[in-house]
Amino acid sequence: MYHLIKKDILMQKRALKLSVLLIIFFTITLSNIGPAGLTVGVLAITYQLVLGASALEDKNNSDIILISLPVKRATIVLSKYVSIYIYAAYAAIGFYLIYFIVNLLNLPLDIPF
Amino acid sequence: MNNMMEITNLSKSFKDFSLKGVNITLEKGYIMGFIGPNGSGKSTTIKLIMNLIKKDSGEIKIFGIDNESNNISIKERIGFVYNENHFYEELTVKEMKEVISPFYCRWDERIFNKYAKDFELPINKEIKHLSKGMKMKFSLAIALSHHAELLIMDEPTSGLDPLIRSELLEILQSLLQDENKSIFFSTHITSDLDKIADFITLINNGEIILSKTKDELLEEHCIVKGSKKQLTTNDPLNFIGLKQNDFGFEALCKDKKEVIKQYGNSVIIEKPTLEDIMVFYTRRSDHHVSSY
Repeated sequence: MYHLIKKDILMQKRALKLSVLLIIFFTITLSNIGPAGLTVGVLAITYQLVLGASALEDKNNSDIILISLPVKRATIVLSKYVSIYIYAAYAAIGFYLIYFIVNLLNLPLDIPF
Repeated sequence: MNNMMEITNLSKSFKDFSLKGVNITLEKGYIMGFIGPNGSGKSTTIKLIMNLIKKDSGEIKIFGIDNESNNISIKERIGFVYNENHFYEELTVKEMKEVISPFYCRWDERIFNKYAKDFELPINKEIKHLSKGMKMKFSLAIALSHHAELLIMDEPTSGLDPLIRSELLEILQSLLQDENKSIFFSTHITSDLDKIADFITLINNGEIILSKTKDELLEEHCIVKGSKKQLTTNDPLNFIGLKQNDFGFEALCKDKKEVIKQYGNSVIIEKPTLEDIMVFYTRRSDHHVSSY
């Protein structure tokens, strides 16, 4: 399971870089709708990563490789669900870090999260 | 336990195609070539063996145990190579290997490194930039690196150049020096099998037509060529895939001795190749594509 999630993350090297930019972008744009902005931001990042992983899987037809490996089908499916929480945690930490940096450097940016 | 793989009465039906009562037995230490035209059910059979799709009825036993109830322990001992690349193209060779290796408890890093060196695999290159031959070699390296006892390959040689093909066949042959391994591979390039296969299984339209040792097959069968007159005067033996034109007839016959007895020296008898056998058996007698 751990390896399946690791694979999903490894596969999305490019998407992860993009997500960092998105987090910064969302911090700036969504900060004017208040705490709801954080929810929307986390949701958007999670959505991007979960669907991205599935899209890559679909594009390469790699399900064939996965079910040919000695893993239970249930584990493969479960790992996809668990990965959602990992992406969500990643996005939340990302937002928090930006908030932290902004506060630390006293940047003229108002983040109400 | 001498049978590596035992398939009995396996059937699976789709909307427009069905696999009817397939029986295959593969013994330890042999290479079985699985031949048939496109769309004859080769890949379907392999998918069923690998448990990628559910069978309708029948039994598949690998290493003497049922392949559905012991899915994981069997896959641990199987190496697989598919005809297309199904690896993640975004990853490099090394990353892909690291993704796959933890799933096998008998993964042997040393063997993989040896093959990677022998095949000159570019370890840090992304899979999408590899050539088709390289991708195939990479799948083979992955398949061979976990001490698999049974190697299942779905058209591994299609689309490869002759040089890589013969290299691949040599590797397979050298693998069989270890008597505990077996290889089951499907192909429609029969010349590959001329070199390495011990057993030949011919499938057409979802049915197994024959499953024999290669030598026996080539020994028994013969191609008969003669004039049209001879065909009408003698009662036709059980000719397979009889083809007639204005000049004469051409057919494959199952029983060489019988042909010699009936026709003597009046017809030309030739030794068939595997390709001839496949073509004659699968030729549809009522179906002829003519050229304009």
